Amino acid sequence: MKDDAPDEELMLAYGKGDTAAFDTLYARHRGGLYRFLLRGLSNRATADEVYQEVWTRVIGARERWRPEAKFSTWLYQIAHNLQVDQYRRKMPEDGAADIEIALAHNSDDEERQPERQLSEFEQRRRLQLAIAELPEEQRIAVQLRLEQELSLEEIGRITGAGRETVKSRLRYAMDKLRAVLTP
Amino acid sequence: MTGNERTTPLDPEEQALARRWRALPDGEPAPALDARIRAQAHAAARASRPKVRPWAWGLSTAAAAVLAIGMLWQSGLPPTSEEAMYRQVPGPPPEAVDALLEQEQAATVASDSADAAGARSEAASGAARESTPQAVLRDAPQPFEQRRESAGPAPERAAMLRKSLAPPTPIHVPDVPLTVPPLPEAAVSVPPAASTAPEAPQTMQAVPEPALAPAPPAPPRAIEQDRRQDEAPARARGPTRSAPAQRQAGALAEAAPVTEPPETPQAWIARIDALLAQGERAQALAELRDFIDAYPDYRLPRRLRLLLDNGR
Repeated sequence: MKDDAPDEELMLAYGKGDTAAFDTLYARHRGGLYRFLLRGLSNRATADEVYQEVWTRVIGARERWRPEAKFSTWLYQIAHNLQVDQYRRKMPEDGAADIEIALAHNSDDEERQPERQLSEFEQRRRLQLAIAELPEEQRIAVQLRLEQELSLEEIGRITGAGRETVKSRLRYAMDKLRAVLTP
Repeated sequence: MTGNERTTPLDPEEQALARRWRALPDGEPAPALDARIRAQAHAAARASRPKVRPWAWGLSTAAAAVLAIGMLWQSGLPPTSEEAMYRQVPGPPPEAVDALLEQEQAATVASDSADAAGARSEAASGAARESTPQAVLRDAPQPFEQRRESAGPAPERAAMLRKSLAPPTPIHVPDVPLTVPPLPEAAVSVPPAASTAPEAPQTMQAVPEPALAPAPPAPPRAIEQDRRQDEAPARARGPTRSAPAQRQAGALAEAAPVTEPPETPQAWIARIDALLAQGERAQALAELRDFIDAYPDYRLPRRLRLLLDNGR
């Protein structure tokens, strides 16, 4: 199985027992999926737990999976549902401490340019806070759009909303982010 | 559809925002988490992969060969003794039958004249037997020895002999005499299986059902047990039909196998709810886990999420 094979082919191959296909699929989606969860849940431990649960469900459904929709849409649909469940169980925990620590150790380049470092640090912190303050639907929509570059239709399929609703959510979210990031 | 094809291009403003977005930290799962998930995926694939047994091919080939030879051997065998009686022994000519009957009648007349009074009283008692319900039993299928002993007077025996020597005639179910003895229900009655059996086509319903004697009022326990055992397969088969009708039904059943439509998520959820309502919590939880395997992207109702959380 080639590394550039479509997700759907990889998933079908994995359903037939091709573990290399799973490895390729996993490598392709691990970063995006993890960021989607982590930024939604704002807590690494919870994100880890939900991340593993998403993949457990993918693994469990490998033999029955049929390419009726894009694999990524299906994958993020699972992630979204679990994320919503998690929200309902407990409000997102304040993971600011985790993020601050990570930001402090972000780049050597920033250490060499203190002014720029401050500016970048400030910008990212603002973005992070702005995202965290977005209503859940808007945050998920903007995450899927910016992170995964999904279309309005795909975001709608994942979140169970209509195209126009998604468009509206994205517009509101972008306005808020723009307002926060514009000096 | 590759990984790149799933993206929809961002406009310039979105691109700028996305660049900052991606620069945010904590972008990847820990290597230990990666390793755990990949190990889980590999283990699952190994578990579901059918094991290749080198001897299985030889064994299955041998089994198929034995089956084929057995079928060929069966089809080449002569018919069974009963079939042979009907198929291979031609009916005697009518003259031979008449001669045989005359011989037997002469012998009967001789013995009757020797003991006329006894014969009269026997005839009277025979008539009396005819009028009792027990007389009906005489015509019932009985063991051969019993039938010989209980054979009626000469004309009747002649008729029986003629009947036995005559070439076999096809069995017409409606011709079954009404004097059939009240056999146990197990032997004759057909349980009403219309609710469980598939509906027969119209052509099958045209075959008349045999006229059956009423069941005995209280069958013995053993017979009742047998009846129950017999009823089980009968229910599965449906109403008794003639052989061609059964063959036709079988062919139809093979031609159009009944495929159960897949259960919808809603129906499945309803079934799980029903199990919970019946107090079958463990079974409901097991069903719920199967459901999640089948529909991982389905958003569960709150009550089932709670059940799942508590079941963990």
